[in-house]
Amino acid sequence: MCPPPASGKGGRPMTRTREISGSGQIFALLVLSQCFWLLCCRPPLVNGLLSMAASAVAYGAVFLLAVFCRRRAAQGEETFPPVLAAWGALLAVGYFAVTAGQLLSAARVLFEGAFSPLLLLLALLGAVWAAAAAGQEALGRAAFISLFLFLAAALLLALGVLPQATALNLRLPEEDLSRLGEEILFILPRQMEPLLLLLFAQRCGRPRSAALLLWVPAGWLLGGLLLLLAALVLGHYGSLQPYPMMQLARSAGLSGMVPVYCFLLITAAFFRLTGLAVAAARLGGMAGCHPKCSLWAGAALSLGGVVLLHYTGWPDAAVHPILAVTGLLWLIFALLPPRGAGNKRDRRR
Amino acid sequence: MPFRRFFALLLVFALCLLPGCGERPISSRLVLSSVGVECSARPLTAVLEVIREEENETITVQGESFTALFSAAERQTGEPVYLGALQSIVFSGVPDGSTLRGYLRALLADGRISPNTQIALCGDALSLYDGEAPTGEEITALLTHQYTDSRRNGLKELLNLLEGTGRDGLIPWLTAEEGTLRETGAIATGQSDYTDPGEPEEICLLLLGERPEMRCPLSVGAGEASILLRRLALSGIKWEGEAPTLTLTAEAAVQSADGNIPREALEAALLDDLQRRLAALNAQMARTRSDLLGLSARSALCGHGPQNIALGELRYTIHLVLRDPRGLLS
Repeated sequence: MCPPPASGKGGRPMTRTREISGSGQIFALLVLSQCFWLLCCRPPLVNGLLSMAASAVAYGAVFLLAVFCRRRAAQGEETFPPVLAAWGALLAVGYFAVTAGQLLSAARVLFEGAFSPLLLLLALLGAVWAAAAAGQEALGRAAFISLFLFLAAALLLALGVLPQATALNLRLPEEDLSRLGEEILFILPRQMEPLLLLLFAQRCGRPRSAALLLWVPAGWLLGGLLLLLAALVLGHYGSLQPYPMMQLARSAGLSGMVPVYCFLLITAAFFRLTGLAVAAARLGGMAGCHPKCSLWAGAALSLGGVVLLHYTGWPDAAVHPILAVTGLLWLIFALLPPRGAGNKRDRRR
Repeated sequence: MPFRRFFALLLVFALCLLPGCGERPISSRLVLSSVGVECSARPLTAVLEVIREEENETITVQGESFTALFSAAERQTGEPVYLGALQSIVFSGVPDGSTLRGYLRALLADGRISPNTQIALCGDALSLYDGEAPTGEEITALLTHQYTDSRRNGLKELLNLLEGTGRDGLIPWLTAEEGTLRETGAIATGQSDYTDPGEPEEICLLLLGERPEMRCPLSVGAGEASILLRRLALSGIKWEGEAPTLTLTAEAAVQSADGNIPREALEAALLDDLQRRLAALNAQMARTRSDLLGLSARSALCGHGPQNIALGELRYTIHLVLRDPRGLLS
């Protein structure tokens, strides 16, 4: 039950809520989430320029989806049918589990057995679900502040490795043009941000804001710059090692750059995971679960998913396409106009 | 209420991290600083320099591969190996580039080696560590300009030269004489015999950025002058058939001048000297079949496609800026 509204500026009632975010906050959250796939990219970097071109194509498709999602969200908040909501919640939990699994694999390589990655992951998951319980607004505010720190860290990393950049390390995209389709199909399934946009934009102060679309080109620009830097600095070496962004940080030759990379990775992972946790909890509530039960069920299912992926050894390259196809179908159903007056149209303020 | 739970969970998070931090302290591991590997016979023999509190120690191991070498070290000492601090690896007995490439690939497969680990060659890696053994820090200090200038001779750079297309470089050759470690030559990555180091042309080192400056003593008429060449860079290439014309920009300063030396005469003498040095560089590149200036890579970036570049017949146009800060010239 909401507390009585306080008076704001101009005498307008100001409702306290944990659920309304600014468009800039959602922008920040989605940009941070979008950076995760590159920072945790396991396949080697064969051709950085080609990857940039492939990501432009993939993000173009994501932009199109984002337009539809924003338009749908701007029509007002609505609950999805229980079956659709349950399906969406499982989808969010699936993406959560595979993201956490990728982070676990990266942590094993990063910390080289000096630090228990499983323990780190459990602690991180605890923090993620606790942050999800704090609500969309708190998450948005944290993302807004963290984006500036993230950009500062990325700039620091770039300045640290820039002296080693040489154009002679570049491979022209034409040399590996046959890989373009493969690169697009690698990048596209990892873009689950339209799902988050559809849910978060429903509770946005300005649901028609351009910021709710600008996260796509902003994320592409940031990722593109990192890819270009990796191509200029690593060259052919980048195609021989997994986690090229980590190799980029190690190439700086300064011991402080690996912690900078860890900060970038964990920040991107935290906001991606927390966004998915909030989405799963909200969809679980729409499916008929009590909000608290939905939260705990999401936490348990996601942990189960991580354990399942860990012990079955299913590669994320195989799981992501399944989730992507399922997610696309879900989005199509979710974006369909609602039938009749059966759906609640409730614009919360 | 949610914030109390959040803080409670944060406390749990911190408590969980603490035992994880202490799981495997670095001090209980075998931290390697440098490695010398003799590759002329199987099994490989390696000397590993281990960082200890008081003084570094060296241990000798044998194995068929690098993984076997590190495993042997772990069995010998009873401590797990930590490669994150490995600064340099010196090879000896490497016959050619493809063998070295195989060894570097094997090192990469380990995944723990830093991309900036310095790589060098020498005549006998085992005797390098005899007596007054050089430390990994001494080798790294010798191989890089500054401690943080890790591009030169790094594992990443060397692999890009050996496996990437279109350019070659120089691998330093180390010799220990009377307890002093010196860089006494270099192996061009394109040459066929990696046991025969040569003296690289000084102008080549300047062009590759491995030396910041070069002194040129010149005789001009009846006088003598000394020039400090501070900057020499490749600024343009004109692709004409198999022998392109390269444009170089050079910045030089007059250090000393005996006699009444006109500026034009000194410039002409300096340009002649540079052209002679560049001709010697051409001969060296042709002899070692090494594209040290990366012309093939530049050609590919320009869209010219693969070209057979006659490295021994390159032509150079030099744009020279001669400074006379002390007013020694007439």
